[in-house]
Amino acid sequence: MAERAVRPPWMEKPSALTQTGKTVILIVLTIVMLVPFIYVLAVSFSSPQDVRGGGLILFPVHPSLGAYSAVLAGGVVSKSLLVSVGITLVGTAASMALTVLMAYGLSRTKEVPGSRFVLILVLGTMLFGAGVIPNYLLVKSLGLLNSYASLILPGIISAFNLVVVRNFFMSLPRELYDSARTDGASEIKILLTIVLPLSKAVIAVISLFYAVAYWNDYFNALLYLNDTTKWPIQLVLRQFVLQGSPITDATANTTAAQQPPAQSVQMAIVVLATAPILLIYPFAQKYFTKGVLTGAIKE
Amino acid sequence: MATTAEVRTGADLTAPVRPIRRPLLARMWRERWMYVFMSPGLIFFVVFKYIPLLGNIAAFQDYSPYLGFQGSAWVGFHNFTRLVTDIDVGIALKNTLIISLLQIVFAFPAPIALALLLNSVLSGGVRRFVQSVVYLPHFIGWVIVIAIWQEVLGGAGLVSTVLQNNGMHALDFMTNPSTFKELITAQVIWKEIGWGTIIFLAAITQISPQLYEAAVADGAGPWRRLWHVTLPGMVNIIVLLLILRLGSVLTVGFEQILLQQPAVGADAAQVLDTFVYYRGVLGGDWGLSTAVGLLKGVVGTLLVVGANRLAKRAGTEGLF
Amino acid sequence: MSAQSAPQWTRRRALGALAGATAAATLAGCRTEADVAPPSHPFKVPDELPQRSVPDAVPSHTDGVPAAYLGFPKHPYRSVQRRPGNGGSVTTLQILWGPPPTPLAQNPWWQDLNRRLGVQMKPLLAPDSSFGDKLMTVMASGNLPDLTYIHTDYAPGILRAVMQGAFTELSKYLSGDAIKEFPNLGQLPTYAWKNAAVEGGIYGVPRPIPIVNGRVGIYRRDWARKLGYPKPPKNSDEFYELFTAFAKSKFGKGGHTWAMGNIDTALIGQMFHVPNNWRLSKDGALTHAIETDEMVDSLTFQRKLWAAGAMHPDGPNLSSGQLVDLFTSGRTAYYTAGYIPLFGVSGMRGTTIAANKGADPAPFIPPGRDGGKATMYQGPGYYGYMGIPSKIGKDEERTRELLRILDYFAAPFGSEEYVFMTYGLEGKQFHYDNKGTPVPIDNPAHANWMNLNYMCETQETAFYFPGMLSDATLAQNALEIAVAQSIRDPTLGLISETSINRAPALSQLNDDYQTGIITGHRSMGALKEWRRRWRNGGGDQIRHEFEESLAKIGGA
Repeated sequence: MAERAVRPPWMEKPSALTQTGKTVILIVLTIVMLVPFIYVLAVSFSSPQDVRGGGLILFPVHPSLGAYSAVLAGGVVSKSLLVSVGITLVGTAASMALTVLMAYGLSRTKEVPGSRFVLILVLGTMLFGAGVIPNYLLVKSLGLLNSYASLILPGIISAFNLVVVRNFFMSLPRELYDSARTDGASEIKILLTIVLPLSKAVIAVISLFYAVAYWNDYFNALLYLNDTTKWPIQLVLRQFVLQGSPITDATANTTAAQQPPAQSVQMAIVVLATAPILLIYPFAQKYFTKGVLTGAIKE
Repeated sequence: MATTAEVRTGADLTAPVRPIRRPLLARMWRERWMYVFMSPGLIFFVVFKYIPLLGNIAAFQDYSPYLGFQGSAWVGFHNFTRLVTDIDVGIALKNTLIISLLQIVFAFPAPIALALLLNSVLSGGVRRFVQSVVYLPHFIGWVIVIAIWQEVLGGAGLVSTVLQNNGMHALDFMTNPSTFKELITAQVIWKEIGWGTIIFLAAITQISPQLYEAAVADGAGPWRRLWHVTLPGMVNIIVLLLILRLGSVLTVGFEQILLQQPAVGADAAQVLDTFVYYRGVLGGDWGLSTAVGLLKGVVGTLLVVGANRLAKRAGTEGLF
Repeated sequence: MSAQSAPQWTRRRALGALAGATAAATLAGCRTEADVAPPSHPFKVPDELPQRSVPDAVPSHTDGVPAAYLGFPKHPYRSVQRRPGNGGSVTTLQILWGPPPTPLAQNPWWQDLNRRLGVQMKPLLAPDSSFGDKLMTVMASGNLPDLTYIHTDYAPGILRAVMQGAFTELSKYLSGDAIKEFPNLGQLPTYAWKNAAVEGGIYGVPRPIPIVNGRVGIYRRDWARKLGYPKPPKNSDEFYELFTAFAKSKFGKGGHTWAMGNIDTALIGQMFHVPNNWRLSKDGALTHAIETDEMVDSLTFQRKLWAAGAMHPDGPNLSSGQLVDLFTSGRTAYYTAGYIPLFGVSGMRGTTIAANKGADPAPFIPPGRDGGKATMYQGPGYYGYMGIPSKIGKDEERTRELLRILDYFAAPFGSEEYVFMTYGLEGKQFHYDNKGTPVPIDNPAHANWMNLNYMCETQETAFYFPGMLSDATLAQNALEIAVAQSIRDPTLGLISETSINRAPALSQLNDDYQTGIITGHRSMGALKEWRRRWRNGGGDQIRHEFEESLAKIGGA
């Protein structure tokens, strides 16, 4: 993106005052947002003594991997990591396919009879919801209990994401569609060759939204899975944060002071649970390029 | 978009092509692919969203999970009258609306402002770095966010320690009932501002650079370009998100508030969702919880419909 | 992100209950038209069978206080004579603490459990933070497993289900000397059976905890000595002197010390003789704690403590984990929890001694305000119970089989089955050192083998602390003192439908006003308004229902 650093020919040089103001705001913002994350990282890598000392730790003075080995040992986490990656990949792909199709189907409500009604039906689900019990009964009667499908199907389309994608599709220049249609292009061709290439940014954003949602979800797994070996990583990791039953404490013969404090383990879990999903952001960011429409309209 | 005017035949350059009036079935046949596209999604919404909605009959029952929907006693509107006659509902409603209002006024525009600021940064490297940093807090759960805020702004936190060492009073920001709503809003802005920019940044990518060039040719400076090109390019998505936000006006950060309620008390911090938690969920009162959910839905619907009408009158796409 | 957003309130609630909070007591019951008739026979608690003697055991002479064990028996006895199961499978719905157990195929402990029990154990494990949701949804689907963990703190609605006949009434199998068929269940303390009963019916096998739990704390006696208070305070004035001296001291790391991390209204309430939730007068009338003059004195005292900086300024918002960190890192002087988390090497005492040179955390029981004894609060004495759904309970033989399985889980200290349930497999999970102490083998791969054993085991009433053996008698002595001067919540076991729905909201109201008044955000005058809101918000109705229930039972 180095080329973006070049000022477009039409843009004037900003005044020194504006420039300084912006710089100050951005620096402050970065610090305010970054420091807590550094704190989380530092605590997760700190020795028990340093953490028990309290205060705002920004650097692991006596680095320790104790918190991580406490969580990662035993192999439960690695299995659940696989489950989560699988659910996130399959789920995001399926969600995007259904969302894009439906959003496109709903993008010309004026011309497609009945589609406004469908849209209103969709919006209704954002306003009214069912409790856990009706949802559980439905999943059970569909025979989906204890299946991976129960982690994807009940939320495969997010009404919010659908409406956002539809909104972006509608903001594309109408002329592109009309001329393609006049040329005899099929709807599927228009969607694939005109609409999608011009909507990379929103596709990237919504994919990110779906991926993060699948990655972070634990509640569906909690309700619908009976078999703990199928648990996704978020559900497994949550269990490490809890204080543990008093029994295990009672039988332990080691000095608890040598074990990682709850705080370190908690922070290590934040890191473990967050890092994989953070990795996908740069890929999404790549599509935030300006001027996607430049070429399209000149044709 | 004068460049594409020649595509159209008539003099009507701004309105969409008026659909030619054909018989309904013919029009539907013409758009048959659109129905194919939306049908999988439609099936999903009907099966997974509308069928479970039937469970909302619990609002008219003294529902017991053991007895089930068939076995539980019908109580008519009793659950609703209990709500309406409860003074605590009034407190919860008032707090919810104030917090919602604060968030719509301050937390909603914050990511828009940040997106515009980021957009004006020329260096791609700097922009990408700042972007990647500001969206991090979104991924930290409320439990830890609050712990971190305590470390810094709590009565025994960093700032308080410095103040006390200099002979001043400690901060009371985290535990003061009278500033609780501001605290909640500040935390939301901090946590979600970066994440919120993503959609707006995507919207900005769809603005044609030619529009900027044309504006400069007309002698527009940075502020006028912002006002006349960038913002209009984002207005549809802003309006869309604003309408949706209004639809959830009675929903404000449940976990965030519940965790911080003990220090300031329910009079300052009770919102509808925490009310439901204490009265419905903890009290095992499913009928009451469901009734509140239905009422929230009705209020949300009214606001969405109203806001949508306003938005359309103002010349935007609106929501539907 | 949700990994660490485990709802803190639930956890706090869970741990609070572990510490013996009496929330369960106020949720004692309800009644609706659909109720099944309560058991017609008079309630007869299961007999408490004589304990088998175990070497190095120090029995307590105070009723309801468990024995302390100063050594581990060299030859654990067999407490279960026949294989409990009939070869089929048993499904359970259990609460899960910590990570899920290693899958059966790779889990030798689980395999051995199945072999020992003579059944295939098929547990459905729900994390403690969401146990209520899972329990209620599974129940709504009509498929309750053979053995179901019931705890009103997690799912208050479950009590209605109990009253509606969802679970088997077990008196036939357990009352009086019928319990002899299940000798290990016969060792469970009488108070646990009594308090877990609903309207005189036994709907499950309780998981026992001490009857006064989480009310005995520990305090930094080393600091007190240095401040010139070698002896614990004898009245409220001395208490105030000591606790404010803690706050003014500079012992704490970073120069800050607080006497207490959180606001502990029970601690001060006990000192000022505030009732344990309710006070019952001779004529059968109930007065709630907040309506008493003692409460006024207790609040006034706490306001003074707060103003003097004795409590951590963020106290009301601190999580249980933060409170632990504050004490172990030497920044607070007083901490309280249940006995197992408090004593021993891995308890708060051991942890604090290891982390702070010269630390001497000693048991602390508050004095009475006037120099006498404080009035300590009893809790329910159990933490949930394992029930058998009524559908399954129709089959008597199956019910007996399931009770035999619970009997195995409830094996007492000193038995071979207890060793298996508590320490696991010798050679893989623990080994005996040369003194005969079971020492866990530090192998993370084996750490989660036993995470399906939480049902009705007896570890929390077995005072045995390897590595700090004398802590067993220390804990026992403290519990004896506390029990001797303790009072019961008179509404325990009574039925009020309003209470089950309203108690959580009312305790929220009470917490609000207490915190507000203590921290100075409200004036003492707010008490009047508080009492009015409490009465109108259901308090009077609950009182009325409890009094009626009490009259029916005949003033128990």
